[in-house]
Amino acid sequence: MDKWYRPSGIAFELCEEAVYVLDLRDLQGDLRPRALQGPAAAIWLTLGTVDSPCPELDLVKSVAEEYGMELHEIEGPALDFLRDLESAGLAERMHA
Amino acid sequence: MTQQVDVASVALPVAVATPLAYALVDRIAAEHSVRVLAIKGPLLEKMGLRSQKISSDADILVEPSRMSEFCTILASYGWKDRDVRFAPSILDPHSRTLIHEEWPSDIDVHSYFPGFFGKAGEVFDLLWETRTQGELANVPVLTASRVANGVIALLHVLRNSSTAEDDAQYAELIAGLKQDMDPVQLQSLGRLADVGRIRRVLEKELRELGVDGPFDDLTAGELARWEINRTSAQATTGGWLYAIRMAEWRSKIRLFVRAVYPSNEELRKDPGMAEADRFGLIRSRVKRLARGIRTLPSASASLFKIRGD
Repeated sequence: MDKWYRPSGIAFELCEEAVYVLDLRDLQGDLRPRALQGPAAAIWLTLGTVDSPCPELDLVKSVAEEYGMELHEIEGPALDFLRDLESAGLAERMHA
Repeated sequence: MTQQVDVASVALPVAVATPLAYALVDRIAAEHSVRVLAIKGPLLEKMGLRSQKISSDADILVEPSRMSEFCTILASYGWKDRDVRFAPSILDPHSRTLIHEEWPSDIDVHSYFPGFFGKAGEVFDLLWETRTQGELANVPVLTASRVANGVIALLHVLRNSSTAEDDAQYAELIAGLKQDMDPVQLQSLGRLADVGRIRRVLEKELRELGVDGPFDDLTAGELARWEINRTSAQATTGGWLYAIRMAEWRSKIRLFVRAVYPSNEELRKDPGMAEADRFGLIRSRVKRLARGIRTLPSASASLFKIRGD
Protein backbone atom coordinates (compact mmCIF):
# COMPACT_ATOMS: atom_id res chain seq x y z
CA MET A 1 0.00 0.00 0.00
CA ASP A 2 1.25 3.48 -0.87
CA LYS A 3 2.32 5.86 1.87
CA TRP A 4 1.90 9.64 1.68
CA TYR A 5 3.83 12.58 3.07
CA ARG A 6 4.14 16.36 2.95
CA PRO A 7 7.20 17.46 0.97
CA SER A 8 9.68 19.59 2.88
CA GLY A 9 9.90 23.27 1.93
CA ILE A 10 6.19 23.86 2.25
CA ALA A 11 5.15 26.27 4.99
CA PHE A 12 1.74 25.82 6.52
CA GLU A 13 -0.36 27.18 9.34
CA LEU A 14 -3.53 25.89 10.87
CA CYS A 15 -6.29 28.35 11.68
CA GLU A 16 -9.67 27.17 12.88
CA GLU A 17 -10.89 24.62 10.34
CA ALA A 18 -8.46 25.51 7.57
CA VAL A 19 -4.84 24.88 6.70
CA TYR A 20 -3.03 27.62 4.78
CA VAL A 21 -0.25 26.24 2.62
CA LEU A 22 2.60 28.17 1.01
CA ASP A 23 4.95 26.34 -1.35
CA LEU A 24 8.39 27.88 -0.86
CA ARG A 25 10.29 25.52 -3.14
CA ASP A 26 9.80 27.55 -6.30
CA LEU A 27 10.13 31.27 -5.71
CA GLN A 28 9.24 31.95 -9.34
CA GLY A 29 5.94 30.10 -8.89
CA ASP A 30 2.68 31.21 -7.33
CA LEU A 31 3.55 32.60 -3.89
CA ARG A 32 -0.02 33.00 -2.69
CA PRO A 33 -0.99 30.81 0.25
CA ARG A 34 -3.69 28.29 -0.58
CA ALA A 35 -6.43 27.37 1.86
CA LEU A 36 -7.43 23.77 2.45
CA GLN A 37 -10.67 23.45 4.34
CA GLY A 38 -12.65 20.73 6.10
CA PRO A 39 -11.72 17.16 5.08
CA ALA A 40 -9.05 18.53 2.71
CA ALA A 41 -7.33 20.16 5.69
CA ALA A 42 -7.66 16.95 7.70
CA ILE A 43 -6.06 14.93 4.88
CA TRP A 44 -3.17 17.40 4.57
CA LEU A 45 -2.47 17.27 8.29
CA THR A 46 -2.57 13.47 8.31
CA LEU A 47 -0.11 13.08 5.42
CA GLY A 48 2.93 12.56 7.61
CA THR A 49 6.50 13.50 6.85
CA VAL A 50 9.13 11.94 4.62
CA ASP A 51 10.55 10.21 7.71
CA SER A 52 7.16 9.02 8.82
CA PRO A 53 4.78 8.78 5.85
CA CYS A 54 1.17 7.82 6.42
CA PRO A 55 -0.20 4.60 4.85
CA GLU A 56 -3.05 5.38 2.46
CA LEU A 57 -5.64 3.31 4.30
CA ASP A 58 -4.75 4.82 7.70
CA LEU A 59 -5.08 8.25 6.18
CA VAL A 60 -8.56 7.61 4.79
CA LYS A 61 -9.69 5.91 8.02
CA SER A 62 -8.45 8.80 10.12
CA VAL A 63 -10.40 11.37 8.10
CA ALA A 64 -13.51 9.18 8.04
CA GLU A 65 -13.37 8.89 11.84
CA GLU A 66 -12.82 12.59 12.31
CA TYR A 67 -15.86 13.44 10.20
CA GLY A 68 -18.04 10.52 11.37
CA MET A 69 -18.30 9.12 7.85
CA GLU A 70 -18.23 5.57 6.52
CA LEU A 71 -14.99 4.53 4.88
CA HIS A 72 -16.67 3.81 1.53
CA GLU A 73 -18.23 7.30 1.53
CA ILE A 74 -14.96 9.12 1.78
CA GLU A 75 -12.45 6.76 0.22
CA GLY A 76 -13.06 7.76 -3.42
CA PRO A 77 -13.04 11.55 -2.92
CA ALA A 78 -10.11 11.31 -0.50
CA LEU A 79 -7.97 9.36 -2.95
CA ASP A 80 -8.91 11.76 -5.77
CA PHE A 81 -7.90 14.65 -3.55
CA LEU A 82 -4.58 12.99 -2.71
CA ARG A 83 -3.84 12.72 -6.42
CA ASP A 84 -4.82 16.37 -6.89
CA LEU A 85 -2.38 17.29 -4.14
CA GLU A 86 0.25 15.11 -5.74
CA SER A 87 -0.14 16.77 -9.15
CA ALA A 88 0.05 20.18 -7.47
CA GLY A 89 3.31 19.06 -5.83
CA LEU A 90 1.82 19.40 -2.36
CA ALA A 91 1.91 15.68 -1.51
CA GLU A 92 4.31 12.91 -2.37
CA ARG A 93 3.97 9.17 -2.09
CA MET A 94 6.17 6.19 -1.49
CA HIS A 95 4.99 3.33 -3.62
CA ALA A 96 4.50 0.06 -1.82
CA MET B 1 -13.58 17.30 -2.57
CA THR B 2 -13.05 20.79 -3.95
CA GLN B 3 -11.93 22.55 -0.80
CA GLN B 4 -8.65 23.67 -2.29
CA VAL B 5 -9.04 27.37 -2.95
CA ASP B 6 -6.71 30.28 -3.27
CA VAL B 7 -6.27 33.40 -1.22
CA ALA B 8 -8.26 35.44 -3.71
CA SER B 9 -11.46 33.75 -2.58
CA VAL B 10 -10.63 33.10 1.09
CA ALA B 11 -9.35 35.98 3.17
CA LEU B 12 -5.97 35.15 4.65
CA PRO B 13 -6.17 35.66 8.44
CA VAL B 14 -3.43 37.86 9.95
CA ALA B 15 -2.68 35.15 12.52
CA VAL B 16 -1.69 32.89 9.63
CA ALA B 17 -0.22 35.46 7.28
CA THR B 18 2.47 36.72 9.67
CA PRO B 19 4.25 33.39 10.29
CA LEU B 20 3.93 32.56 6.59
CA ALA B 21 5.50 35.95 5.75
CA TYR B 22 8.42 35.21 8.08
CA ALA B 23 8.91 31.85 6.33
CA LEU B 24 8.72 33.49 2.91
CA VAL B 25 11.30 36.15 3.77
CA ASP B 26 13.69 33.56 5.19
CA ARG B 27 13.43 31.54 1.97
CA ILE B 28 13.92 34.61 -0.26
CA ALA B 29 16.93 35.70 1.79
CA ALA B 30 18.52 32.25 1.46
CA GLU B 31 17.86 32.21 -2.28
CA HIS B 32 19.60 35.58 -2.71
CA SER B 33 22.37 34.92 -0.16
CA VAL B 34 21.42 37.88 2.02
CA ARG B 35 21.95 37.54 5.77
CA VAL B 36 18.54 38.03 7.38
CA LEU B 37 17.29 37.20 10.86
CA ALA B 38 13.67 36.90 11.91
CA ILE B 39 13.09 38.76 15.17
CA LYS B 40 10.27 39.50 17.63
CA GLY B 41 6.64 38.51 17.06
CA PRO B 42 5.73 34.82 17.29
CA LEU B 43 9.39 33.91 17.87
CA LEU B 44 9.13 35.43 21.33
CA GLU B 45 6.28 33.04 22.11
CA LYS B 46 8.26 30.06 20.83
CA MET B 47 11.18 31.13 23.02
CA GLY B 48 8.99 31.49 26.11
CA LEU B 49 9.49 35.25 26.28
CA ARG B 50 5.94 36.33 25.58
CA SER B 51 2.45 34.92 25.92
CA GLN B 52 0.47 34.29 22.78
CA LYS B 53 -0.50 37.33 20.78
CA ILE B 54 -1.34 37.90 17.13
CA SER B 55 1.39 39.85 15.36
CA SER B 56 0.37 41.95 12.38
CA ASP B 57 3.85 42.28 10.94
CA ALA B 58 6.89 40.14 10.36
CA ASP B 59 9.96 41.89 11.80
CA ILE B 60 13.25 41.05 10.20
CA LEU B 61 16.79 42.30 10.63
CA VAL B 62 18.91 42.46 7.49
CA GLU B 63 22.65 43.02 7.20
CA PRO B 64 22.76 46.84 7.15
CA SER B 65 24.91 47.21 4.04
CA ARG B 66 22.32 45.25 2.01
CA MET B 67 19.14 46.82 3.40
CA SER B 68 18.29 48.68 0.21
CA GLU B 69 19.20 45.75 -2.03
CA PHE B 70 17.06 43.36 -0.01
CA CYS B 71 14.06 45.72 -0.11
CA THR B 72 14.46 45.82 -3.90
CA ILE B 73 14.53 42.02 -3.97
CA LEU B 74 11.36 41.89 -1.86
CA ALA B 75 9.76 44.45 -4.17
CA SER B 76 10.31 42.03 -7.06
CA TYR B 77 8.02 39.63 -5.15
CA GLY B 78 5.34 42.31 -4.76
CA TRP B 79 6.34 43.73 -1.36
CA LYS B 80 6.44 47.52 -1.74
CA ASP B 81 7.08 50.40 0.67
CA ARG B 82 4.05 51.59 2.59
CA ASP B 83 3.38 55.22 1.73
CA VAL B 84 3.55 57.04 5.07
CA ARG B 85 3.75 60.72 5.97
CA PHE B 86 7.30 61.93 6.39
CA ALA B 87 8.10 62.38 10.07
CA PRO B 88 11.74 62.74 11.04
CA SER B 89 12.94 60.67 13.95
CA ILE B 90 15.40 61.73 16.57
CA LEU B 91 16.95 58.28 16.22
CA ASP B 92 18.49 57.28 12.90
CA PRO B 93 16.15 55.87 10.24
CA HIS B 94 16.20 52.15 10.84
CA SER B 95 13.34 50.37 9.13
CA ARG B 96 11.06 50.19 6.14
CA THR B 97 7.54 48.83 6.20
CA LEU B 98 6.65 46.73 3.17
CA ILE B 99 3.14 45.77 2.17
CA HIS B 100 1.68 43.39 -0.41
CA GLU B 101 -1.74 43.81 -1.95
CA GLU B 102 -2.65 40.16 -1.33
CA TRP B 103 -1.29 39.85 2.21
CA PRO B 104 -2.86 41.34 5.36
CA SER B 105 0.47 41.43 7.24
CA ASP B 106 3.35 43.87 6.75
CA ILE B 107 7.04 43.07 6.65
CA ASP B 108 9.13 45.44 8.77
CA VAL B 109 12.69 45.37 7.46
CA HIS B 110 15.18 46.69 10.03
CA SER B 111 18.82 47.50 9.39
CA TYR B 112 19.38 47.99 13.11
CA PHE B 113 17.19 48.31 16.15
CA PRO B 114 16.78 51.65 18.02
CA GLY B 115 18.40 51.48 21.44
CA PHE B 116 21.54 49.84 20.11
CA PHE B 117 24.11 52.64 19.86
CA GLY B 118 26.90 50.33 18.63
CA LYS B 119 27.86 50.36 14.96
CA ALA B 120 25.00 48.78 13.02
CA GLY B 121 27.28 46.44 11.04
CA GLU B 122 29.09 45.22 14.15
CA VAL B 123 25.84 44.67 16.04
CA PHE B 124 24.42 42.70 13.13
CA ASP B 125 27.59 40.62 12.79
CA LEU B 126 27.33 39.60 16.44
CA LEU B 127 23.63 38.79 16.14
CA TRP B 128 24.41 36.71 13.04
CA GLU B 129 27.31 34.93 14.73
CA THR B 130 25.09 33.95 17.67
CA ARG B 131 22.00 33.17 15.56
CA THR B 132 19.88 30.12 16.07
CA GLN B 133 17.25 28.24 14.12
CA GLY B 134 13.63 28.66 15.01
CA GLU B 135 10.50 27.33 13.40
CA LEU B 136 7.60 29.32 12.02
CA ALA B 137 4.79 28.03 9.82
CA ASN B 138 6.33 24.57 10.26
CA VAL B 139 9.55 25.44 8.43
CA PRO B 140 12.93 26.44 9.87
CA VAL B 141 13.81 30.15 9.97
CA LEU B 142 17.01 31.82 11.08
CA THR B 143 16.58 34.03 14.10
CA ALA B 144 18.64 35.90 16.68
CA SER B 145 19.53 34.01 19.85
CA ARG B 146 17.00 33.87 22.66
CA VAL B 147 18.98 36.43 24.67
CA ALA B 148 19.24 38.76 21.66
CA ASN B 149 15.54 38.42 20.86
CA GLY B 150 14.79 39.25 24.49
CA VAL B 151 17.05 42.33 24.39
CA ILE B 152 15.51 43.55 21.12
CA ALA B 153 12.03 43.11 22.56
CA LEU B 154 13.06 45.00 25.73
CA LEU B 155 14.40 47.89 23.64
CA HIS B 156 11.15 47.89 21.69
CA VAL B 157 9.05 48.04 24.84
CA LEU B 158 11.22 50.77 26.36
CA ARG B 159 11.71 53.00 23.35
CA ASN B 160 8.37 54.78 23.68
CA SER B 161 6.17 55.78 26.60
CA SER B 162 4.84 52.62 28.16
CA THR B 163 1.28 51.37 28.05
CA ALA B 164 -0.30 48.77 30.31
CA GLU B 165 0.35 46.19 27.59
CA ASP B 166 4.02 47.21 27.39
CA ASP B 167 4.34 46.90 31.17
CA ALA B 168 2.93 43.36 31.08
CA GLN B 169 5.24 42.42 28.23
CA TYR B 170 8.21 43.94 30.03
CA ALA B 171 7.51 41.79 33.08
CA GLU B 172 7.19 38.67 30.90
CA LEU B 173 10.47 39.42 29.14
CA ILE B 174 12.43 39.93 32.33
CA ALA B 175 10.92 36.81 33.91
CA GLY B 176 11.62 34.77 30.75
CA LEU B 177 15.22 35.95 30.47
CA LYS B 178 15.89 35.36 34.18
CA GLN B 179 14.62 31.82 33.92
CA ASP B 180 17.40 30.66 31.58
CA MET B 181 20.19 32.97 32.71
CA ASP B 182 23.05 30.53 33.17
CA PRO B 183 26.71 31.63 33.01
CA VAL B 184 26.88 31.05 29.24
CA GLN B 185 23.78 33.16 28.60
CA LEU B 186 25.08 35.81 30.95
CA GLN B 187 28.33 35.98 29.02
CA SER B 188 26.40 36.33 25.74
CA LEU B 189 24.30 39.08 27.24
CA GLY B 190 27.38 40.94 28.46
CA ARG B 191 28.99 40.70 25.03
CA LEU B 192 25.84 41.96 23.33
CA ALA B 193 25.66 44.81 25.84
CA ASP B 194 29.24 45.82 24.97
CA VAL B 195 29.05 45.54 21.18
CA GLY B 196 25.51 46.94 21.05
CA ARG B 197 26.30 49.77 23.51
CA ILE B 198 23.08 49.18 25.40
CA ARG B 199 24.55 49.26 28.91
CA ARG B 200 23.20 52.70 29.80
CA VAL B 201 19.87 52.24 28.04
CA LEU B 202 19.22 48.88 29.73
CA GLU B 203 21.15 49.49 32.94
CA LYS B 204 18.30 48.51 35.27
CA GLU B 205 17.47 45.37 33.28
CA LEU B 206 21.09 44.26 32.86
CA ARG B 207 21.74 44.66 36.59
CA GLU B 208 18.62 42.66 37.35
CA LEU B 209 19.80 39.89 35.02
CA GLY B 210 23.21 39.77 36.68
CA VAL B 211 25.43 41.75 34.29
CA ASP B 212 28.20 43.71 36.02
CA GLY B 213 28.99 47.37 35.26
CA PRO B 214 30.16 49.79 34.05
CA PHE B 215 27.01 51.22 32.51
CA ASP B 216 28.15 54.59 31.20
CA ASP B 217 28.58 53.75 27.53
CA LEU B 218 26.66 56.65 25.97
CA THR B 219 27.50 60.30 25.38
CA ALA B 220 25.18 62.88 26.93
CA GLY B 221 23.82 63.59 23.46
CA GLU B 222 23.07 59.96 22.69
CA LEU B 223 21.33 59.55 26.02
CA ALA B 224 19.26 62.70 25.44
CA ARG B 225 18.16 61.43 22.01
CA TRP B 226 17.07 58.15 23.56
CA GLU B 227 15.18 59.91 26.35
CA ILE B 228 13.37 62.30 23.99
CA ASN B 229 12.33 59.37 21.83
CA ARG B 230 11.07 57.51 24.89
CA THR B 231 8.62 60.28 25.66
CA SER B 232 6.14 59.81 22.86
CA ALA B 233 4.50 63.19 23.46
CA GLN B 234 7.85 64.81 22.74
CA ALA B 235 9.05 62.37 20.11
CA THR B 236 7.37 63.93 17.06
CA THR B 237 8.14 67.52 17.99
CA GLY B 238 11.63 66.51 19.09
CA GLY B 239 12.16 64.69 15.80
CA TRP B 240 11.25 67.76 13.76
CA LEU B 241 13.35 70.08 15.92
CA TYR B 242 16.28 67.72 15.68
CA ALA B 243 15.92 67.42 11.90
CA ILE B 244 15.72 71.22 11.51
CA ARG B 245 18.73 71.67 13.73
CA MET B 246 20.81 69.13 11.85
CA ALA B 247 19.78 70.31 8.36
CA GLU B 248 21.78 72.68 6.18
CA TRP B 249 20.60 76.29 6.26
CA ARG B 250 18.74 76.11 2.98
CA SER B 251 16.82 73.03 4.09
CA LYS B 252 15.94 74.39 7.52
CA ILE B 253 13.17 76.67 6.22
CA ARG B 254 11.71 73.98 3.99
CA LEU B 255 11.67 71.53 6.92
CA PHE B 256 10.13 74.12 9.22
CA VAL B 257 7.28 74.78 6.77
CA ARG B 258 6.77 71.06 6.30
CA ALA B 259 6.61 70.58 10.08
CA VAL B 260 4.14 73.39 10.69
CA TYR B 261 2.05 73.14 7.54
CA PRO B 262 2.22 69.72 5.88
CA SER B 263 0.50 69.43 2.49
CA ASN B 264 -2.97 67.90 2.18
CA GLU B 265 -1.39 64.99 0.36
CA GLU B 266 0.94 64.36 3.30
CA LEU B 267 -1.85 64.61 5.87
CA ARG B 268 -3.96 62.11 3.91
CA LYS B 269 -1.25 59.48 4.44
CA ASP B 270 -2.11 59.38 8.15
CA PRO B 271 -4.22 56.42 9.32
CA GLY B 272 -7.93 57.05 8.65
CA MET B 273 -7.26 60.29 6.77
CA ALA B 274 -7.28 59.04 3.17
CA GLU B 275 -10.84 60.25 2.53
CA ALA B 276 -10.74 63.33 4.80
CA ASP B 277 -12.62 66.38 3.51
CA ARG B 278 -11.52 70.04 3.88
CA PHE B 279 -12.82 70.26 7.45
CA GLY B 280 -11.18 67.00 8.43
CA LEU B 281 -7.85 68.30 7.15
CA ILE B 282 -8.28 71.58 9.06
CA ARG B 283 -9.10 69.68 12.26
CA SER B 284 -6.01 67.52 11.78
CA ARG B 285 -3.81 70.61 11.26
CA VAL B 286 -5.16 72.31 14.38
CA LYS B 287 -4.63 69.17 16.49
CA ARG B 288 -1.07 68.79 15.20
CA LEU B 289 -0.25 72.40 15.91
CA ALA B 290 -1.74 72.27 19.40
CA ARG B 291 0.24 69.13 20.18
CA GLY B 292 3.40 70.73 18.78
CA ILE B 293 2.98 73.88 20.84
CA ARG B 294 2.21 71.89 23.99
CA THR B 295 5.31 69.70 23.67
CA LEU B 296 7.65 72.37 22.27
CA PRO B 297 9.09 73.59 25.59
CA SER B 298 9.94 70.14 26.94
CA ALA B 299 11.21 68.91 23.56
CA SER B 300 13.40 72.03 23.18
CA ALA B 301 14.78 71.64 26.69
CA SER B 302 15.64 67.98 26.06
CA LEU B 303 17.12 68.81 22.67
CA PHE B 304 19.38 71.41 24.25
CA LYS B 305 21.18 68.54 25.96
CA ILE B 306 22.14 67.06 22.59
CA ARG B 307 25.45 68.61 21.74
CA GLY B 308 28.05 67.56 19.28
CA ASP B 309 26.05 64.59 17.90
